Amino acid sequence: MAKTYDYLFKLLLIGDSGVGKTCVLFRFSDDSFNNSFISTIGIDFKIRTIELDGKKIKLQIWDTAGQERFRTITTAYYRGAMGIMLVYDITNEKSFDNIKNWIRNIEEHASQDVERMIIGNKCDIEERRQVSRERGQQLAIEYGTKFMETSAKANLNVEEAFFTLARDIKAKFERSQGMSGAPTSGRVNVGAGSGHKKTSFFSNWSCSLL
Amino acid sequence: MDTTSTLSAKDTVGGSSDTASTSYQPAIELTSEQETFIYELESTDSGSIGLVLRAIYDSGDVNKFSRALEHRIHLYDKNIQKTCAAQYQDFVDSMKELMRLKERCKEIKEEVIEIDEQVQHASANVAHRTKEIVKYRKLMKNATIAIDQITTCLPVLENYAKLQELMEMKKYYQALKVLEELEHTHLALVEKYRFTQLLAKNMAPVRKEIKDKAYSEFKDFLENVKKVAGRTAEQHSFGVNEAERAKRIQEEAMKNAADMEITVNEDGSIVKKGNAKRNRRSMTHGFDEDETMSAQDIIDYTPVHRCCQIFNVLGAKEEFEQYYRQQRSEQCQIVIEKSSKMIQLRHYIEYLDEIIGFFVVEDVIMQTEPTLVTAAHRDQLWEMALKKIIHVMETGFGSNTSIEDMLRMKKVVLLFALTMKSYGYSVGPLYTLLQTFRDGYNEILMSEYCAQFEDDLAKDNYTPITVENEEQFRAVLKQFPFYSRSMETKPYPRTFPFSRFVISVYQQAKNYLSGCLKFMEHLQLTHSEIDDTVRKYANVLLERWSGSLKEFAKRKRSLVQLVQITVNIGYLEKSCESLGSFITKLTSNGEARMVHTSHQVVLSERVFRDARSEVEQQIDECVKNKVNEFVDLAQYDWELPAASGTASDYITDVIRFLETTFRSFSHLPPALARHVCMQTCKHIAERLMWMLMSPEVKAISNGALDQFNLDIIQCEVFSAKDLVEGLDKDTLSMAFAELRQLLDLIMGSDWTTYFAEFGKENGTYVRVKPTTAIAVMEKMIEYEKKSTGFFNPRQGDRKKLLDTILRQLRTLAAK
Ligand SMILES: Nc1nc2c(ncn2[C@@H]2O[C@H](COP(=O)(O)OP(=O)(O)OP(=O)(O)O)[C@@H](O)[C@H]2O)c(=O)[nH]1
Ligand SMILES: [Mg+2]
Repeated sequence: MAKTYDYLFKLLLIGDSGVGKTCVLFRFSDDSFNNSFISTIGIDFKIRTIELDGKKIKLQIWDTAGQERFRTITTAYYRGAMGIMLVYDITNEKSFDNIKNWIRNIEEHASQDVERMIIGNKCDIEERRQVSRERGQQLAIEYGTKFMETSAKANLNVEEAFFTLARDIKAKFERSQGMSGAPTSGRVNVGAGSGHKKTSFFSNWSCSLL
Repeated sequence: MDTTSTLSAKDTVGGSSDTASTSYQPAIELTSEQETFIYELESTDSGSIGLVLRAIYDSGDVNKFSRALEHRIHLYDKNIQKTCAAQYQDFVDSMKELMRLKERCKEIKEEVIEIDEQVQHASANVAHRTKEIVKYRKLMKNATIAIDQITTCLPVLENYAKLQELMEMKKYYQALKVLEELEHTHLALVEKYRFTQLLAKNMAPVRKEIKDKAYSEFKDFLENVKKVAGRTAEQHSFGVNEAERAKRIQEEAMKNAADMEITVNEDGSIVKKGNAKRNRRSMTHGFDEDETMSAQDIIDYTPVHRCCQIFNVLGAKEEFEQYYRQQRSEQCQIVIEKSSKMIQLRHYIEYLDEIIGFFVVEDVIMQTEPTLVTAAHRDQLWEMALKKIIHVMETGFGSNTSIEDMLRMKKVVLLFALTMKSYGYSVGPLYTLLQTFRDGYNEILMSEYCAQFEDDLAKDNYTPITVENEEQFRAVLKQFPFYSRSMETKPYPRTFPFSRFVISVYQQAKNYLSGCLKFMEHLQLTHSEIDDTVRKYANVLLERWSGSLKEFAKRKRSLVQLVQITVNIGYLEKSCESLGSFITKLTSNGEARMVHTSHQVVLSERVFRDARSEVEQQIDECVKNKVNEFVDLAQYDWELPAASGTASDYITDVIRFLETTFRSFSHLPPALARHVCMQTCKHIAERLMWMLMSPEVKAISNGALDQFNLDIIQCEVFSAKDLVEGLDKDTLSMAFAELRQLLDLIMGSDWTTYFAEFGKENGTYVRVKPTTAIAVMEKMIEYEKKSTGFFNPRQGDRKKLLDTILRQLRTLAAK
């Protein structure tokens, strides 16, 4: 079968309901925006292929429901994620405060070395801003993650956010390959069969590649 | 001298006559014959003398007779002498007497002459006086005649002056009357004068002037009427605001133009008699004085009446009537002509107002001048107008009109109809127009509600309504007919199965139906007619909505949306019944009436069937697409030497995704969930089979087949799970049966069984088609060829076996 991509990266969007996860993803995958709020049920995903340094990378981005009632269902998806975007709404203080809880969730359920990024969405509605950019940056520094303010509506930084995350994952992946000294075969069998908790994603990868 | 001769003769004759007669007889002897002859001669008249003479001669003795005769003459001479002598004295005495008389006569004559002279002298003065008297008598007579003549002429002049004055004062009708009198009574008497002849000649131009002035005054009137027509109508029909209009509708319907009593005054002005009525009306609507104004109050009809009278007098009544009708019909034509600026409703109201004004005026004139405006003429105008009005209204109110405008328009037309009807005009076609309007209105209303529906559909949050407390719970139940016993007991927050779209749509349906009904008000329809119509419209609306839903679903919707839509459709269907009773309540005007449902158009809940099946199909599609996205990620290494020992990533992902999805969409109707689940499994199986059979895959290793088998096992495990309520697990696992049998057959090389049981109904590999088996076998052989080399002698038997199997399969495939 013809090879359709070089890497498959699985990304995960988490955050309170209504912060705009689905919208950010729609902006990225379909370049569209919908004003009405249709809360996600369970989980959904979108796939978009990007190119980085001549490599075709498929991004399978999981969009989780922010509602509490789907929490158990969605945490099941943390494990397979290589990158997680924690999204809050800059016009909603509470969603920002909850980032801490989401991080705790990640630490509990996701791989140890999962790439993380904090996103402050809806930066187009400056007049209703409740969380300053500085506080966002402050929090990101505390957790050692990257930070960006985006707007799905105004199409601000959405592309950049995903590309940055993808680039970081790719770099980490290629670093881990370099360490193991194996040439890239191009086939990535992500997280296959990893039954252990908190195992390194990339070491795991390397294993499967070897 | 006379006296002397007379005296001498007298003397002679007188003396002899006496003696002759006495002396004759004794002297001569006469025969008897001679005696006779002489007697004859003496007694006969001179004419017969001849006869006597003849007789004498005939007797022959003429001599004798001559002597006899001589003797007789002598006798007579003697007699005469005698007589004269006897009478002479008397004669002389007489003469003397006569002489004396002559003297007396002379005296008397002188006296008479003197008296005559005296009389002549005395009467000369009298004669002179008499002459004078005669002269003056004549003079007096002449004077009297002259006075008489002048007396008859005087009124002519007086009237003429009056005429001039009236003309100057523009009182034409009076002037005309004077003129008529002048001409026919006065001038006729004094025709012979030159000045009167001149005046008579002058009458024609004056008459013409009056006529012209009357025309011009009438024209002014027409002009004036045109100007105030709109206002007249305003007073008569449309008020300024809606409430007033509604009131007017009732009022006008009751009002009858016949109530109006009008009389014409002598000077041609109109007096309204209906005072009692007016008072009554102003009592009820005392707050609005203006309202009681009638056409007569606004318009001065005097000119019309004056014209009528003038032309009547002029004897040109018909000419005027013709002129009037001509003018009015031209005016009518202008009034009913649609102006290019008619865009807004306001323009149409003005338009109709003017028409009402026109016809009210016409009516008033008809009431007062029945010969001028005959019913036939009026109706003819109206008929013409009506045609045009309907055309104007029909073309003017197209589909781009707003609902509010349509409604207002309906009211306006209805009022117009009622008003015209109250004036006795026939308005049947206007009701037909309203019917047309109703259809147009409903079309617009429908499209508005359809647009709203689509808008709601696009803007819905596709999230079941959640209520936090009793109040909110009741609020929802108030808006939408829903009952669930289990929900009543649940703690808050409670969640309804449907999204707010359902409530909004149900409300809209109700509003739409109320809207439909609004237009039918006052259209003189029966309850059941209205009810049926509303129901019909309801069904059409639901049908359109269903179509909208169908179209909406077709356009790539998310699973969240589609699932919520099916749920919503279910509740919309259930709400049809409530909608039906809502209609009944609506159309029965709140009266509790026995409704015979059998006669009603029933709201069909099946109307959403098409939409539902479309949505369900789209749900299938949606899930399949998701599955495809996973399957597209699959990158089998078909020449894998050995399986990884775990299922492929994509398959675990797709299975996890499906599990999550089916668990999350717990509100998916079970039957649909079962169906979707089944379809999804079938689809996965198809895709996997398709991958295996793909011509791009040329060779398959045992290791790869093992890996593939591991993935299928995952699917089978999935299908065995209790994911969807009421789903028969055996049926579900059947989805993967073909793949399972194929893999078992090939991996176990159980060809003998396959061939032995081929065609049997309950064979172990009954689902494996020979062609499928051939395709996979060929790929396996290809790999074997590549990896072990074909010329390995140890493989000889195996090759033979494989050849036999292939040949056998081909034979079966050919069947
Ligand atoms: N102004 C503005 N509004 C946004 C933006 N992104 C999302 N929204 C709005 O925020 C609401 C929620 O967006 P979603 O993307 O559905 O929220 P979510 O995070 O996916 O919510 P859950 O699915 O319930 O977890 C929607 O009404 C969006 O229109 C943004 O960048 N700017
Ligand atoms: Mg979402």
